[in-house]
Amino acid sequence: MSRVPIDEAGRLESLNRLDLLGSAPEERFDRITRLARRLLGTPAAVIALVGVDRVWLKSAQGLAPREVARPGTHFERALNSRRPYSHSGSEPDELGMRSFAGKSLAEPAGHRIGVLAVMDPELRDFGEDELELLVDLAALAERELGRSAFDRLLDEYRGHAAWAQSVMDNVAEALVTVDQEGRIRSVNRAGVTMFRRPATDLIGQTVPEILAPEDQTELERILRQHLSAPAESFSVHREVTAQGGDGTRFPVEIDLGGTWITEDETMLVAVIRDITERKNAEARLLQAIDDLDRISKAKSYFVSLVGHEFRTALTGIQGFSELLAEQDFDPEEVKEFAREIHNEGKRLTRMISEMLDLERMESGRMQLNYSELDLNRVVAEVADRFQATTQQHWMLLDLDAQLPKVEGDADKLTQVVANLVSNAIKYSPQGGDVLIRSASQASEVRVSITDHGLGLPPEALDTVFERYARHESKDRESIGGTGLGLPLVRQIVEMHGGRVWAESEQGKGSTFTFSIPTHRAGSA
Amino acid sequence: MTATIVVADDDATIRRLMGVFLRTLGYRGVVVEDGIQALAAVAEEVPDLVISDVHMPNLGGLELTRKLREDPRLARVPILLFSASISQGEDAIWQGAGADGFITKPPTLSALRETLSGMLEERRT
Repeated sequence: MSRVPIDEAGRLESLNRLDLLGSAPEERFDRITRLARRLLGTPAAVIALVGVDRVWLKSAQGLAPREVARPGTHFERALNSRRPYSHSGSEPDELGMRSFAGKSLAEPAGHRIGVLAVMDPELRDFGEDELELLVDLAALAERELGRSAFDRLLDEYRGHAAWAQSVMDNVAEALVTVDQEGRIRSVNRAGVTMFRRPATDLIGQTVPEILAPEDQTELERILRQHLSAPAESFSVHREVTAQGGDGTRFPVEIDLGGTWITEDETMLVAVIRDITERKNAEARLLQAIDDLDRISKAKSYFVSLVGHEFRTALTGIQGFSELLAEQDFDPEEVKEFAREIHNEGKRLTRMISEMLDLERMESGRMQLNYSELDLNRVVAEVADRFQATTQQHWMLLDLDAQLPKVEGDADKLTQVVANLVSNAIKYSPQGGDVLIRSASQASEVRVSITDHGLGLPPEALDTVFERYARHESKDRESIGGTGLGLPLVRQIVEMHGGRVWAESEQGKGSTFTFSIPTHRAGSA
Repeated sequence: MTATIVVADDDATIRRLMGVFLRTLGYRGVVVEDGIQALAAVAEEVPDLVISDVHMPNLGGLELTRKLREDPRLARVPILLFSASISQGEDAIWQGAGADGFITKPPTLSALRETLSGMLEERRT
């Protein structure tokens, strides 16, 4: 009897994996035991699985028990032998048998886990022919054990595959696997969503084909380089622009890595992250820094401009009052100096109140006193008031008699018209017409003030409403101002839900127009 | 002989004030709006002194000083700069440009009287 040392631990592990110990009878095994009983002419035939300390009769013909203790049994001896094992003795064994012939059964990996045996309570010998028959039948039983092992593997594989798919589908990044030809072999759910293309459409494309044209070449080069000479480990990080199935472009971050599947087959895995949000946040941050920088510069400019304006006004006040105190002048001159002092004082007062108004409005501390009002009346009153101060300018009114009333703050809108008319006068030092028009347009009322003065260069049309952006040029420089009038106009108009804009031809004059909605935003 | 002083400033009120100041102090004032006009004035007649605002359109006080210093005919004309700006380090700037004095706006009549007589005195010696 040949006895081969047996790997008991490996054998038991295989048996456990097959999960056959204690399992119910199965026709595929019963068929073999029935055949064995008939062909060998024994009353009993079994397929026994040999556990740690017991033997499970998976299939049994002519025997009642399903389980016997293992130690010292013929099953154990048969298991330990590669060749068929037989025994005859006058003493009956634990199953009441006097004759036993068995052949060990190996699973596909070669571990012996059971025995196919025929038994007889009577004494009998098993001939060579009979033992050969047993070997053939055992081979059939091994095939069935192989099928069990295969089924287990298949179940495990399906479990793994489902697990892997679930992991891939639940990550936020697009996971794309690429084969040796550089073609996409799989893509997860995030990838399908990100690229707005069905998986069937993505599979078979190359990775560069899902990127924006300008970024394809570099990635192609990286892929070719790796695929032509695969290195042990390979990892590339790039920020590129991707292109979705609907043509949309978005920034992505790609991590491309290589893995070996078999000795001569490599696979690339691309992890693609949509970084639109991050890019937007970065852009917002840069914009915020830029804005802060601009505000900071504007504030410095504001401080120096206000300082300069204040000192200039104070120079007049201090100088002319010093002259009056120190010397005698003739009455006409005294009057003139007093007028200078008074004008400079008014200039200071206006600067201070404009600054405070603007500050209050910008910080939201100023409330509007809404009432129903007729902008034509506001315009007419302001025009009358300014006409009384100048002989060089003529206020011309072109008012729409059907102008709807608006809801607004009468004092503030009067200030708006007054600032614009005052500018029109100030910036047409040679005199001339100042034309004030009113018109109804869709759901708003528009008022425009046109002068034939210095005008504005095109680049100043927008910035003129910004705080302290008073456009400096030779002919305008000598015209005093704080640069607060137009920002104040814009603030008031926008608080009413309207807009203000400028049109101009340099040297020919300007038109400033503001609109006020006929119905107050948010009111019934 | 009455000294002639050219004054350049872009603010109309200050021009009027300086005109009265100079007249009160007994000088003949030639009042202009910027550096270009100041150059035209000195080309016509070499003054005894030039007073100029620093910040003016077209040609500011510092550039005006440099141009005056380049002209041998005007090299000895004292230049007084004045400014309403409150920035630091103005001294170094006006000295670097070649001016002879600097006063901050608003100038007082008494300060101007002293500064101008001092500068004109120095020139004679």
